Amino acid sequence: MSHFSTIKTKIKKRPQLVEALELLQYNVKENQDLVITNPDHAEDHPVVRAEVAVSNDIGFRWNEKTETYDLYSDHSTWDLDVPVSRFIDKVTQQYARMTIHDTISQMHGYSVAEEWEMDDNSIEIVVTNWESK
Amino acid sequence: MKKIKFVIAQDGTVTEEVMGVKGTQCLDLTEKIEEQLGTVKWRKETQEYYQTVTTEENVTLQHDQN
Repeated sequence: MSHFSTIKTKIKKRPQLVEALELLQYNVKENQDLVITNPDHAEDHPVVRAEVAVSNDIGFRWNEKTETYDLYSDHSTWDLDVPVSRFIDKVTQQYARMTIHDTISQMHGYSVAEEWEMDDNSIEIVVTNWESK
Repeated sequence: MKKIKFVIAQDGTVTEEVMGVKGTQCLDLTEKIEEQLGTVKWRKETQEYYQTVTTEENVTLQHDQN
């Protein structure tokens, strides 16, 4: 063994974000306006342009300051199958999976040898180098 | 054989284990993946990391007795 690392995943790449959402069976629309209810001003419905959306009021918007995609949603009308925090976790997990696949496909000699979804809902991916001795 | 094992936890945190790569090669190898994924929170180099590629054949690993 050579080293262990633990990496906190950040959602930075749009194609992998779209792939992750599609893998989770959401109906992805790109460049959509979201209508977000402002709880302090019921009559005020600001429109937010989301680069990647899964409904009229749930989507991801690029944050130039943090250089990540942030979730924008209307919590008062949240109607997905899972709560907000679980949704973010699931998307982040699939995003990491897609990012690993994408990066490995660009590395000469490496390929995914095994991939498992474990009982604890983690995903295990084993990558090997067929050129090495 | 060079081998990398990734475990993606439920919250998207990735644990990466690199096996069969001598010296600092493994850092070059995984740097790109880590850069694409996010921020490295924690890293531990194991014994193999401190071997150098040129002396690899002459090295006898000393195992802890306990």
